[in-house]
Amino acid sequence: MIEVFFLIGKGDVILWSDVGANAGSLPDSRARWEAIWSNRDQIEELAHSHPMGPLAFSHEDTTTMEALEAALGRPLRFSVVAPGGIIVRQNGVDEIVRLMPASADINEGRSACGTPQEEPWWAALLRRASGF
Amino acid sequence: MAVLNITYGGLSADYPLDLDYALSDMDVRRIAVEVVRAGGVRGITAPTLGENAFDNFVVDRVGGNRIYLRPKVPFG
Repeated sequence: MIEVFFLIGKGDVILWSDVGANAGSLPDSRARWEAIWSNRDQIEELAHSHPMGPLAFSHEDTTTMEALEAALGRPLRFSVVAPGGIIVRQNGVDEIVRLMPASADINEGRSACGTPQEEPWWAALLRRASGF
Repeated sequence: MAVLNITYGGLSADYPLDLDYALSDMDVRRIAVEVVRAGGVRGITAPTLGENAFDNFVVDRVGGNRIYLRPKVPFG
């Protein structure tokens, strides 16, 4: 398994992607930054995988997200795709989007505000690329 | 003369560094805070910028006399 990063643009288009060295980290990368900066007007979301979990943002994630929002001068939407689902952070608020197989309890897929959430199409691709 | 490129607040701009000695990364971050506060970087205005504003930024030395101060982008 390996950590993977997707830069998502308007219309859920994957603008750019790269992979880490292992299942636990995506090291700093000038190429990743240049991709983010050059696509800054189109970015809707920055997603990466935690192949072994947790379904949470790490300290590294949090400080990187703060730096990116300061540099780009606007709030961004970030997500982590883990085996248990997806967690999204936007405007400082976290929301968990759980997988919703047909047999699952409908409550598994409800967000904090009670609305069932569907995964974006690229989540399955991010999981597959990450090896889980 | 070196050139410090700072990316902040959605803008990226150059600031000339008239120095004849090597700067540590900490020096670069400290200088960036001061020049941004002072309005010395074209287009980037933040007079109340915090002391630690660039703590999570990387000092990228990509050769030549250009130094880039950009956000770090690792994920854990």
